[in-house]
Amino acid sequence: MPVRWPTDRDREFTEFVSARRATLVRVAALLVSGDMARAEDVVQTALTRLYLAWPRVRPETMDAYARRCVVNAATDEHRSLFRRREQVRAEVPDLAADDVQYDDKTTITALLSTLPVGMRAAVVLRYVEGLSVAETADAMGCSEGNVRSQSTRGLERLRAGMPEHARNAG
Amino acid sequence: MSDLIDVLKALPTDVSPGPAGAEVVAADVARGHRALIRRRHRRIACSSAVLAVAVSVAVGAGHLTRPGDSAAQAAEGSSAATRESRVRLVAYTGTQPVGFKVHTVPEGWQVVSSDTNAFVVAPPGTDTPAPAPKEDLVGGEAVSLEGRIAVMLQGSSRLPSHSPVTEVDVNGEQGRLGLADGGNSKTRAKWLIFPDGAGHKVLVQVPTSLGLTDGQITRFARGITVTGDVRTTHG
Repeated sequence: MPVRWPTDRDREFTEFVSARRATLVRVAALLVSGDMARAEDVVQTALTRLYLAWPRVRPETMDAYARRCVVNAATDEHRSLFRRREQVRAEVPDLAADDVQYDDKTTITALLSTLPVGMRAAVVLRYVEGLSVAETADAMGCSEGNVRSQSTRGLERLRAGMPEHARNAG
Repeated sequence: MSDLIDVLKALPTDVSPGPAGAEVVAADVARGHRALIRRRHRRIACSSAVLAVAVSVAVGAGHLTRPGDSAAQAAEGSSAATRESRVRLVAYTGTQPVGFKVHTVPEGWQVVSSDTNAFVVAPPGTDTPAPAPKEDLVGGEAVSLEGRIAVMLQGSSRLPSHSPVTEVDVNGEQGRLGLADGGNSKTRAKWLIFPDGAGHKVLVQVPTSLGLTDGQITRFARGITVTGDVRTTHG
């Protein structure tokens, strides 16, 4: 077995992170409701997993693997937060919704945060990051049918939050 | 008014963190190193546990067989063969590991994997990675530690408090030789931990099944030099 030189791994990993980290942080931020601190935590976790797996990941699938690590880390983080914050109430509290401005990224991010984590990931990966259904399914670890269903329902729910929004795209 | 999908497509320009600086990327690499070392130490412990179980089973089997049984005779013959097969240390002429130089190895053995924190020396015919789960990631490849000598920076590894410790001289520095049990009371491997005089603490792990004497382990350790390529991690 050839001796593997770790300096190669570090050099390749450094090049990859330098080039791709900002994109991963952006995806993570959209997956965790725009909270940049949480997004940074998610990306750090994902990159550590990527470093450990580096020798086993083919260069041509590195981007996809990194995205999968981010989605998984965001899902894990969401679940742990949900468990910590989960409260049992006798009645569902009414929350006032602010008027939305469609071109306001804060509003869109806030609306995304109302979606379940899987649905949010499908919408972000499909429509924000522009991935294909197959690429999104790979990143989420689910079927393509599930991606289509989740992304369609996600869009419907976002549009429901924007009643004055005129749909002019298919 | 733009469609919702157009708004979503525009988000990358709206939500755009700046490029990662060199310090941020270096911190990512350092976190990866620490995680790798933690996993390696866990797997060393697991590998040692497997050895302990194997020893226990062998001892138990010895107790369950009676002298004169064919199984007992086979076991006795095997033990005798092990005692007679004396390991001989010779000068090492193969590929040197990263981060270390090794001058003396058991005859025929070679470095099979290394990184800036550790290397593994294996006997002839065992130069391919063993399958999971008895594996350790060294240098990015899955390498079994069973039946092999592993050398690494000490990191957070410590000899068990109940282990009898023998102090040995390693190139003028005081080394501590003891039995590592990795969390239980059974002996699995001998550990020799010694400073190299340049600020590093080196750990040599030798499975007891190899039959190396304390003197041989010490001689092996005296032939190890930590080079400038070594990278200390604090995992």
